[in-house]
Amino acid sequence: MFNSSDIKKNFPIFDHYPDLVFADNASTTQKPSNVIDAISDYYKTSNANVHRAVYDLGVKSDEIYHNTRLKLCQFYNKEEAIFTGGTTDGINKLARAISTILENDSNIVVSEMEHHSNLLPWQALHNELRVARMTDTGDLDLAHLASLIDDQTRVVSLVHISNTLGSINDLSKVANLLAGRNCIFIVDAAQSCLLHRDSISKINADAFVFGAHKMFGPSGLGVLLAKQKFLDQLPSFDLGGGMVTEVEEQHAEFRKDISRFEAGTPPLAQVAGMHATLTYLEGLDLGQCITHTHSLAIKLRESLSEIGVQCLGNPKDLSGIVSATFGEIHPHDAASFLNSKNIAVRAGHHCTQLIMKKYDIHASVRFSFSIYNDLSDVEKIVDAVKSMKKYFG
Amino acid sequence: MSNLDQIYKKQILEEAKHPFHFEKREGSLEQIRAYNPICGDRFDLYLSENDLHFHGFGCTISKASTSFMLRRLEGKTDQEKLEIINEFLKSIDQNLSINDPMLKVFENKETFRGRLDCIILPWKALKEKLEE
Ligand SMILES: Cc1ncc(COP(=O)(O)O)c(C=O)c1O
Repeated sequence: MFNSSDIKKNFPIFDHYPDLVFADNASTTQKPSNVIDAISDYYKTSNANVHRAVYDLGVKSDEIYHNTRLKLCQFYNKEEAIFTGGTTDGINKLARAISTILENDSNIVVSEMEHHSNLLPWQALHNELRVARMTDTGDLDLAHLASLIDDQTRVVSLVHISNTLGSINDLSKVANLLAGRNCIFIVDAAQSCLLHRDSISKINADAFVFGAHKMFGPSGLGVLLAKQKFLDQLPSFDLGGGMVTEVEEQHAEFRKDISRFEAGTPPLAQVAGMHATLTYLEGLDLGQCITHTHSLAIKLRESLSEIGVQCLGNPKDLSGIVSATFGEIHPHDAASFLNSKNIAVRAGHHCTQLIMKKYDIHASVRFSFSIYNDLSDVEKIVDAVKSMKKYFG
Repeated sequence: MSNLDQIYKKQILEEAKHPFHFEKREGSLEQIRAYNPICGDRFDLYLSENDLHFHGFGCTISKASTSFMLRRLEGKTDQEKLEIINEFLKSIDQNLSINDPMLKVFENKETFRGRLDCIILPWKALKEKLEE
């Protein structure tokens, strides 16, 4: 039986703030003790640089690093895992590398519901950028997307779960649409990496990009999961230590393995933390976790609508995220009020200005649930919203 | 007083509900946009020889702050405006006590944690313009 109060005990932040309703998980998640311990243990017992260390401590550190890579590939059922600095870093690296293999007349397709970090890096390239619409319910408009794709479409890069609306996009359908085309398919899995391992493992895409900090892991570390054949086409992202076979004054030979995508000393302790993150996730029934967070979001939507609060969109397939506006009450005032009730939420455009424009608003308040939230959190939020309306009324 | 009531002091709530010269003024001498891209707050300040107006969208804090600013600056020369702005911004930045009885509501940085940008939004925008 899924029990969020047992789960909450794994997250020491709630020992310090027992009354905190943390509903800002789409921004970043709290960390379980095994992840915190793994990072601290790494520094206490394994700290040494990786890459061809000969002494025992270095070998131990190297093992942790490589085992984490393997574990990531197994966990998500993907061929290769490259460590990056985060989702944003991963997409920027991909966009820059891909730009070197595009033709002038190639076009790139994204959607209206992208986080800016999956929009701006593509805008910065000199290729035509096509933007697939979303429906009023906040779902990806697959028919419109299909109509944008032609023989010159070389990249399709889409968000898996909208960080603002919570909609879960059916990207397997997009993968089918692209089957047989000479087109790179990239998935921004920032919001799905935590619980949607099953669907990530099934989506046939060239690359998946996400950051550890949104999946109970450390900040400062990202992951790029990719097909070997896709990576083979790309130049290295950055150049530096740990990636060459032979260096001359004017020229260098690069290694063929994925180390050529990881220049310099990687975030070692964070990688150790990531190993523990996956171990933690392996101990959960992720299907139940998805159902739990979804049911909290549904309950919140229903309760808010009963008291006349407008939620953005109405996605067919909803994760644990709900955005709302409160009429005359400005989202930042709402967030300050909720803070006074120990409820942590985010107000703003959530780096999705195209979504804000679609709904003709400037900002919203976003509630995003994780597995340590429960129905009492939803009740507290709804009660607080009621008193907020009186306060500012 | 709870922290919330310290942020939303009566004067601030009242000022945001009944802001000073809150209307669009086409054809004013000068129009300045105070914009915070993080939260989307966006006020247009309309500067004329004798009066100041503003209009737009923003939270209670930024709206009240803009309104107080216009009350304080109306009728002042550019030089005087700049002095008042600089003194106010300095008090916020360095957490000094504020003598001006109207602006005193924004005293004490701690109270406004996370909301300082809302307070200084219009002040910074006007300062930039006046310093051009
Ligand atoms: C869907 C999505 N993409 C990309 C990002 C960017 O992630 P980061 O800021 O961790 O690089 C986020 C984070 O908010 C996100 O939710």
